[in-house]
Amino acid sequence: MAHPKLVPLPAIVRVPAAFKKALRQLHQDTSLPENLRYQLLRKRELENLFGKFSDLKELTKAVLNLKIFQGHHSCQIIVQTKGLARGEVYRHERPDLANYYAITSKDFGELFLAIKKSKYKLFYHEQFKLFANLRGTFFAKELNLRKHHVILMISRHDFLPPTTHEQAFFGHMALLLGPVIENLLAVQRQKARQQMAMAVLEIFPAPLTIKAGKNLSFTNAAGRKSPPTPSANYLLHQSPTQVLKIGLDHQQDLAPDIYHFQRIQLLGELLDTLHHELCNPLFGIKLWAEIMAQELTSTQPSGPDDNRDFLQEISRHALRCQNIIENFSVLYNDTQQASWIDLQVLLPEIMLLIKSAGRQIKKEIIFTPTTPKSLWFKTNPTWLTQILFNLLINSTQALNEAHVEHPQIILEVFHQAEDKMIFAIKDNGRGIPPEILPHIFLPFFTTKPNGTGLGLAICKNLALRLNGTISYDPSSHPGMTFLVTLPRSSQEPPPSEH
Amino acid sequence: MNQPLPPTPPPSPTPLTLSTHPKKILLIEDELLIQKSLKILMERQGAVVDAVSSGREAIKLIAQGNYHKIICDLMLQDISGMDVLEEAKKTYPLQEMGQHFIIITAYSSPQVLNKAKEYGCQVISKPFPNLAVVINQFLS
Repeated sequence: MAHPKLVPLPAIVRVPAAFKKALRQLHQDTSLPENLRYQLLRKRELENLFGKFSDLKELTKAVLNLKIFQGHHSCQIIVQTKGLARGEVYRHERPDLANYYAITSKDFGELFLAIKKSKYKLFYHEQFKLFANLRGTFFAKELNLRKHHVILMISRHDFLPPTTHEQAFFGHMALLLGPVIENLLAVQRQKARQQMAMAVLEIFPAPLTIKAGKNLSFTNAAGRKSPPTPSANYLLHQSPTQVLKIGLDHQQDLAPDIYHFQRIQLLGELLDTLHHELCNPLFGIKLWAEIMAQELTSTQPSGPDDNRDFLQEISRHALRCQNIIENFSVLYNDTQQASWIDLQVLLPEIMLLIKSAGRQIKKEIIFTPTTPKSLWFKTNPTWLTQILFNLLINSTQALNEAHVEHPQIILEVFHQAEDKMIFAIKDNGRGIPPEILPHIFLPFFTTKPNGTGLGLAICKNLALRLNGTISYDPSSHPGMTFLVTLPRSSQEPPPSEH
Repeated sequence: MNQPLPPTPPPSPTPLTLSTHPKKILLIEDELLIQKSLKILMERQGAVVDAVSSGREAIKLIAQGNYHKIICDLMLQDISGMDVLEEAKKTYPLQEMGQHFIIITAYSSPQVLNKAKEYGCQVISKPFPNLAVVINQFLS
């Protein structure tokens, strides 16, 4: 009886241009000693990395066996398929130990970002608590491939600082391995897809026979009149939705987190660049204006004040620009830590962010707790900002569509009992139709033609991370009121800050 | 002991700022307005300041000159400030790097701080919170 078998895959062995380019760059890198360049990375040895392996576990082993990494102890490759909620760790350690396990997309995202930000790509194991099996210094490089985010890590299992040559070689190797990994993942994907298709054919209730050429033929379970093979059987006993979820985490829906991570990463990069490119010249302008003002004072102590005033204006405005950039960067950093913030400072800044989107709209902030001390709040300012910013932007969009006579947004802050801080975002737009209300926090639910449907879902997840909740006030008419409820710390704010 | 004594300087009206041995400072900074400003501010305090924009030029000067303090920006046009420090290890023993070098930077990441710690160097973020204090640190 013919058992179902898989049609052999066409192996992808063509060496892509990206790989050839990386190899050329390596061999032309004159900062490295020539003998080493050719000795450690022979073209043949590297080209052998293509087409030989069927999965990443084998590749980690092969990488470790390359001459250039002979002094190293372990190699791991972590892959996150873009849009999926987990990272997969493939690891090989000397003498012959292989591991495979999954990590959450959040852990992966943090790791990826940390490595991306590092200039020297050199780390100590204390920096990443995630990997208990790493010891000493290691190199890590992040790769942004077409369909995957990949992290490559090589560890020597010792504490000696590597030489600059080693560092350069690792950089080259990471570039070379990018296309190799991409190729391998494509093969793996194709294989998985094929297995899935075969399993579906196998459990198809009508008899089916497929013939391809002379030697390959396949008859499904119904055609063979025998029970389906175990792997297909597994598929048969899943509900249709579960089948769709194979390969996804069984955790709650993490799609909003993934989008959130990508957005923050992008904004963070942009702001880092802006920060450096603008702050430096602004600082120069301020310094020079101050020196000129001093000069004027010392040479013409009783002269007209006009020029001196102008110069002081210049330095004041430069400082203001600096502060604005500084504040933006703080709003979008990826810190995980809670810190004390003064809501009287933070909230007006968030309102400033919607200045252009809500140009025609009257905006107001009401602080109900009256003592300044009660407006100190311990939280993750980045996440709070993102929640409030999202809700405020939603309100401006609702108001811009509603064409009401006096559009208005009120952000009100008050305490509920001693231990809760509530942020209410009210607008006087048309509100949300009751039949839609139950769905608004679901990911991918949107009524906007260009919306992603992730804004409120992200807000909800961020509020959860802050141990809080987000809800709406069903009695608010007209318009809409969202309520963000967050826990207040029982600690006192540090004395220096109030 | 046969060396002639240096001529006694004429009595100066501001004896505090100009001593017989003015401090020699090298300033490496590629933002020209900042470079010029800091140079002037330090010179007003009686220091002799060489200012350069390029890292390679700085490396040459460090190899020749005897500087009390070298103030080095990290983001230069040609090479990074860290490269300058690495190169300076040929002139100064590692234990003395901290006495001679001050890093100024507009972008101080944990990596930068770690690296600076290895050299024992002080890191000052731009923009300086208090200019007078920083200038004093440069000249101390």
